[in-house]
Amino acid sequence: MTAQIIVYGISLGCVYAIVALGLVLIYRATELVNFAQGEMMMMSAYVFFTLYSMEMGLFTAVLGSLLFAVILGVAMNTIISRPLIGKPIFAQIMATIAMSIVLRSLTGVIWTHEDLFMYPSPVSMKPMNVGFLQISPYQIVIVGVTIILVLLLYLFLNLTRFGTAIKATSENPVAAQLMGIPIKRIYVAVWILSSLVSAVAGMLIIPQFGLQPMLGSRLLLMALPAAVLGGFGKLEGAIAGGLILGILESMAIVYLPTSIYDIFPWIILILMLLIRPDGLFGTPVRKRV
Amino acid sequence: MKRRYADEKIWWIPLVIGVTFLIPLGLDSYFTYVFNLAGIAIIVAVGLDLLSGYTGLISLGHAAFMAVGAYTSAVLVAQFDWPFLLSVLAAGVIAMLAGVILGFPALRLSGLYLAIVTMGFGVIVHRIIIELHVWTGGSDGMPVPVAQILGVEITSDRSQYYLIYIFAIVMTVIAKRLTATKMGRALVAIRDSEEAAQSSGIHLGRYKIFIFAVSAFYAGVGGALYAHTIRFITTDYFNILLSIQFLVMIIVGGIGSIYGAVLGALFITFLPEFIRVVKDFLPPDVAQFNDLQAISFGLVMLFFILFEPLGIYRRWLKIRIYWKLFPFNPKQRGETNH
Repeated sequence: MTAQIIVYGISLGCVYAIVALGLVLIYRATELVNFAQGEMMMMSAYVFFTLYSMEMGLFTAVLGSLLFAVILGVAMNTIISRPLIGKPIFAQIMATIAMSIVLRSLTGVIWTHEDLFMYPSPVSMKPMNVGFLQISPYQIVIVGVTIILVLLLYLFLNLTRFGTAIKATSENPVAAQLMGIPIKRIYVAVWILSSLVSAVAGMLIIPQFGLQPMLGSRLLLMALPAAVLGGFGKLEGAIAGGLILGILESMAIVYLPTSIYDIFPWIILILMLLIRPDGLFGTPVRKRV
Repeated sequence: MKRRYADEKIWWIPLVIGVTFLIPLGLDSYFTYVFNLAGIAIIVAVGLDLLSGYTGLISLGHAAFMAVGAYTSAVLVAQFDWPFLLSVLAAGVIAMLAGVILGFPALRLSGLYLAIVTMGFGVIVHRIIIELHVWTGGSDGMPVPVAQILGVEITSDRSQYYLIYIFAIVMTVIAKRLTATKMGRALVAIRDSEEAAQSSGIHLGRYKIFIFAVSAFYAGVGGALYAHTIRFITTDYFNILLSIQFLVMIIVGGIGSIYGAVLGALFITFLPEFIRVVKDFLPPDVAQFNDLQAISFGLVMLFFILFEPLGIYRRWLKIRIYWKLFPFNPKQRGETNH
């Protein structure tokens, strides 16, 4: 039983982890917390859904969704990120919240507020017996895609020149610029990267959650605690935070009364911030005066 | 000896108060009702401005404080037959206690983390209210009895108007005076640099918890007035969007100024009415009302943050200074710092 719950938790946690990854990518590079990340994810998912239900084939639908994500990433960089770099954190938070409101209601205008479901799902959700566990192909796809995505991201950031430039910019933008790194272009790249990552998460969750304009904020409310749990700013922290939260949530659904389980991530988060404000993987930052 | 208010022009304050009391005489019931909502928004926004504008602590949980106040007052009057004025006070005090509790994490956190924790606070309060369904009716909502003061029932929109605006004016004036005291200056010092404030002997913890309590008190009173004005409250109303709305009010008005918060509260409350008028000129497909309202709300928010971060009130000050100096204006050298 417990192992079964953990399997479910891992597949859930993978989605949280990917969304949190998108958040952390942007935060590391631009020090901006993107409250519109959930909406970006959701809109890409809607594009995927529309193309797929127009019988364009799975491949075209994925490609179309990723293309849309690129455009959205560039737009976010131009509208939100560029004018607000270095501005007070208050203005940044409010600006991304404003953007999330605009995107959410745009989604409502374009796709209506009704729940959309994908029947049949491109990947079977019927559980199979694997040893003593029951695992559906859908769960395997989620975990598989997450592993591939994280690997690709890791290779990209560590082995390519461009990835190194992104890391350098996150570390110290001024020094990076002095070394001849075009940091404005890097910021655009980071936004595109983050938008692509969340588009992948968006496509993965459609069979499980369906589509609804409030979906974005609902997932952000899980991804934010996940990112904080891992110590905002660490990629591996985001993944670990997402997985931990997913597993804990699936356990809470089973073992705790329903009245507690939806506030459960927040209780963990608040306790965490009180005990160890820098997260599991974070290192305390000392502020220079 | 220089008189206390000698360096401040205050002749216009009685004027504004006078006009405030004349306004409902020329309005129909609906617009009086909108003004009532604006008055409640003024109270909460002024309280939030003390916290976010003056002290620099972001709260995404003010709707939750409002909910605490609204439900406290509603339950006390409906279930325990408390007199209205006492229950409003109790609503403020209970919300204040919640503020003190939330103030403790604020001692260690700032900026982003505080925003996230206050957001979580909202979710938790929502859950607690639903769990107390014996008193609060849970997610079905709760009817609220009419406010009674000394046996007089406050039912008409106009009488509610006077009740709300007496609260709004008194609380705005108190907030304005608070910012001019030693305490107010300490709060601004904390906002500008915690380290510097601490070095100057300001007890960070004490002031932060104090201002959280005051701000929550304002929201609690606002919530209680809201409950007795609308006469039916649900947990869904006090969501995070409402918290964001209050933040937008202080941004639009001009963050860190009490009068700005008042202007912002009026502006944002009347925005839907304005959109309602504009909507009639749009094709019916575009004019899906809720979405249109949300989009324009988001765009107004973006516009102010990107292009007018100092808000309406500061713009007004700039215009006034411009005309005061008129033929001898110094050349504009980029953005001025406030």
